[in-house]
Amino acid sequence: MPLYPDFEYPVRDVIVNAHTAALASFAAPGTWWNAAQRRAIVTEARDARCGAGLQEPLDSDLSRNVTDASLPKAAREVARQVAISTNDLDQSFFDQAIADGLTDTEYTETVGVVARASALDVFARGIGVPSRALPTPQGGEPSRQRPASAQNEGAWVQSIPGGRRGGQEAIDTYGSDNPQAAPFVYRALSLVPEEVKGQIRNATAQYIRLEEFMNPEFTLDPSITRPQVELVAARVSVINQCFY
Amino acid sequence: MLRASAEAKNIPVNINATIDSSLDSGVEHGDVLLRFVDAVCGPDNLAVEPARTALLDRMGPAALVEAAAIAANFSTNDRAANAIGIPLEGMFLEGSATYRKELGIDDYPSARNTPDR
Repeated sequence: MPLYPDFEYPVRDVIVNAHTAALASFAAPGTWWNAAQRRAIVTEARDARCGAGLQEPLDSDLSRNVTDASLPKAAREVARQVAISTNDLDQSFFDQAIADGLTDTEYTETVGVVARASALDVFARGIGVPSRALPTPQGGEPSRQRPASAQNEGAWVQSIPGGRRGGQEAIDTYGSDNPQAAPFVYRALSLVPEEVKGQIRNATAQYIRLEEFMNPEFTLDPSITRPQVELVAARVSVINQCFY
Repeated sequence: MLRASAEAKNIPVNINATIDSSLDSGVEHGDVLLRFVDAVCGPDNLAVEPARTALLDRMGPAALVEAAAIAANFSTNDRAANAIGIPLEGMFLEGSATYRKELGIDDYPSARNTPDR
């Protein structure tokens, strides 16, 4: 079933497929959170974004109903803040989350889920359809596998290095043993590799294939030029006050 | 990449428009694209529909999808970067010092994650 049947124009298949996979992942067991907890993270994020006016009020089937999930309060607070704005965050935000009981891996997975879910909701708002409903949560346990190659590379959490330093985990996570396939924006969430894989799948569908990044003519669709693509990208990053 | 891609097409881009979206960016249809981004990423639900319609009328439905997808993509990347506290790699720092200072990007709270800037 198409994901955006209520939009009267076509959406490229690769976008539909990436967004469908993302939605499914929000209702499936993750690496450190189970399916109900991941679903609750998205619901919490959406509730916060609606409250901040960043997306339209949700239909009743999407509305807040997270009291039955065992998601810790600290994770809910991270989800809500990251969903609304990360503009003013500094390391004290991460330190507080850890002090409140989250592990670095739980923090990273929470950020990854919210960051990817926010993207789907921005897209829906952009084309003028409601946020997509979340699937029913699946059973099963989180895999709880911390990457052995993760190390301190200068961020608040550890990450898997690109290239040979990351070994097989880098290849599995970034799809290549080339260090250039792993810019820091992709290594950011790599303490939870599945989140990176989702991020890269979406980026490849929505923005660019990394191997074409330096080609100033490349776009994924001829309806928009590369300068127009980059103007949109730059303005979003200014709004989000992202130095990276 | 905004400057590089514009230069490749001999477009005299005004990157100050990324800071003040009321300025002329020099990019074709830049006005409707910036208006769209401000609406989709902003807190005014009433601004979204007219911004979407303006983009749709000027650039067509395929471009509307692309603009929404790019805004979505950077909504992920910016949140991940800021909430994980990643630094900017040196190779990207070298060529950006002048415009980062001019545009005030060095003053963003997230700039503190790059102590070597």
